[in-house]
Amino acid sequence: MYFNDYLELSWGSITLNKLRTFLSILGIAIGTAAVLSGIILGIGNRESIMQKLGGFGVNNLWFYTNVEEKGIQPEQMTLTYRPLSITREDVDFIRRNVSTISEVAPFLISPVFLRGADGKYHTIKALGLMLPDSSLKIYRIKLLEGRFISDLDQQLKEKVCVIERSRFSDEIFGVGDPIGKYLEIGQTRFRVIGLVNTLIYSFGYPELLIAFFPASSLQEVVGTKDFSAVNVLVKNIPDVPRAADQLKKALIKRFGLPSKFVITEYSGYVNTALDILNTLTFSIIGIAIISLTVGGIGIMNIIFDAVAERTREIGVIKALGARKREVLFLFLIESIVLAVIGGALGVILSVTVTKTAICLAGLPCIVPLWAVVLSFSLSVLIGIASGSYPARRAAELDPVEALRYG
Amino acid sequence: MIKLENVTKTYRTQAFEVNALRGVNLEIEKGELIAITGPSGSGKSTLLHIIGCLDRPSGGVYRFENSDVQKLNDNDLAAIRNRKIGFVFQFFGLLPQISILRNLEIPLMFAEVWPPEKRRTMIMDILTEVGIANKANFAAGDVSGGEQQRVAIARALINNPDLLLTDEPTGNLDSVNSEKILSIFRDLNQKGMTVIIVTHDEKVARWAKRTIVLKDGLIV
Ligand SMILES: Nc1ncnc2c1ncn2[C@@H]1O[C@H](COP(=O)(O)OP(=O)(O)OP(=O)(O)O)[C@@H](O)[C@H]1O
Ligand SMILES: [Mg+2]
Repeated sequence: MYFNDYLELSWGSITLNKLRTFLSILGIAIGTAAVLSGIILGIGNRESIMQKLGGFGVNNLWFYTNVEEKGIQPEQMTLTYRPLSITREDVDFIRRNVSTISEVAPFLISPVFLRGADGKYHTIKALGLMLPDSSLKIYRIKLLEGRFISDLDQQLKEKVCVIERSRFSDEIFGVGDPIGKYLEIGQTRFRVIGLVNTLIYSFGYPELLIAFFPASSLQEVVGTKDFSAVNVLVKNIPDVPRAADQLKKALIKRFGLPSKFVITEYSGYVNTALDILNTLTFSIIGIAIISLTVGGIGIMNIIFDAVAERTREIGVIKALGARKREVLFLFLIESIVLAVIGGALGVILSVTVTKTAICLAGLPCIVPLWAVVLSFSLSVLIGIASGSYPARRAAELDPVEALRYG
Repeated sequence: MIKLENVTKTYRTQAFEVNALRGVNLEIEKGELIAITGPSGSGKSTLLHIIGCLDRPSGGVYRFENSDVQKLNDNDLAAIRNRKIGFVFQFFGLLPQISILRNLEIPLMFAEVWPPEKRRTMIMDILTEVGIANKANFAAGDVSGGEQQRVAIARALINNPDLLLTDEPTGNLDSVNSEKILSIFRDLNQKGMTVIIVTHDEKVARWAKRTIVLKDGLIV
């Protein structure tokens, strides 16, 4: 029989029995949608938990100069004693060479003695940023008022700063709006241009107020050309160990000397976080397997019934000269067509309904291509596999027996 | 053309065995017009199924055009059914929901007749011959019993077989329709086709050139 005729006959019987076709497609669509929705939901949950863990700095790495190398005793928290010489080019090099990271931000931290708007003297932690935009992302800074430091401020060594909202900021600036007021460090006056939320990072001395400066202007005031450390943001939490490894290699390539830098994770909870994420991943796989089993059995049932219903028809076409192989292909093509249509509808169903529901629920609603491909191809495979058994049975039917049926 | 030697057929169900045929010897020449009669359950349909290569004998030898059917594989039998034998079933065996046209096209598909225009010409020719060309686009289940019978005959003839087998072709028809059907068979036989008719009808049996009577699975 010609291929065209297979399609003609299969398509004929698909369009002929509308109810049976509808039920088969529905069964496959629901099976597919169950798998894909399970995965989307699981991934949304995982993503949401990752974001929360990211809020604790779990996806941060940082590196600083290994001071023992230089014979200087490391002095906790006074990072200015571990000078790190790094340029914009070094940063670009690292970004190019470490694929798992998204941001690299050198910073200078120094306690400074300043005179606040209240006229009194205070010690604060001054943080000079080489790349304000990257730092904004790494520290998850939320601007409450005014604006943040810009690249231009950094280039022009602007005497501006952004302060952290805390009871100290109230103390220094009184109850009024701090924006537009000045802080004096030595002879230099810095204009306050922005107010940000309290950071989760304390950089030591949690009781001290944090203020951000363009690194260039802070370096001038402090009298250094160096930085204290470099913060690195890893794209995905599970990649933290790999990123640390890649970073180490990139640093050796750039600066030589394996022990020149110390790379550490910002958070001590990376392993716990990875455990949590693994647990979630496993539960996603579990959900997918369960949905697939349920959906798959549904698909099988419907296709089995469809064949049983047509025993007599099979008898007729065999009597008219259909060979086994021809009967087999006719039924296979039918289940392929049904499976493909059902699978596609299932994808559409879960992408529209489930994704929308998850988005509305406020969870991250991501539909990765691999999940679409996986759920679609699995249900098509199950459709074909479960179609092939009854198709084989149909092909083996004795024509006389089949004709007596029904 | 056809030769049965001591052919038996036993149906086994879980509970019991039925010996539908118990040693049938029969020889049929090309161009014969034969009626097979006998009481209900005597094995007429069973014999016709074996002659039509729809079923294999349980014992004995059946030769169709000199080849031993037992030695042919399923594909060979399918090809014989498709091209050499036309079968008209007791209850027509049409696909009732699809058009008469498509019902007749199916054997042509298995015979790999191409292109579709050629099939259409063949179908319309044969439908004209049996007198229902005007209903070609009707669903097979939507026409009268007599018309369905003619569709079934047209379908059996579509691949121009050497042998036409019909099971109770007039059983469900009134006398006018029966006459029409029988005259079709006579015309076919006069053009050289071998025709075998299973029937209960005495008149039909007498009308045939040769009559075979079955009883309890044996020719009497
Ligand atoms: N597939 C089968 N399984 C079991 N028994 C069968 C089967 N087909 C036929 N038989 C039995 O074999 C015997 C002969 O049946 P067959 O159909 O050949 O009779 P028949 O002469 O055609 O009868 P009728 O005139 O009623 O059509 C009957 O007893 C019938 O019940
Ligand atoms: Mg019978």
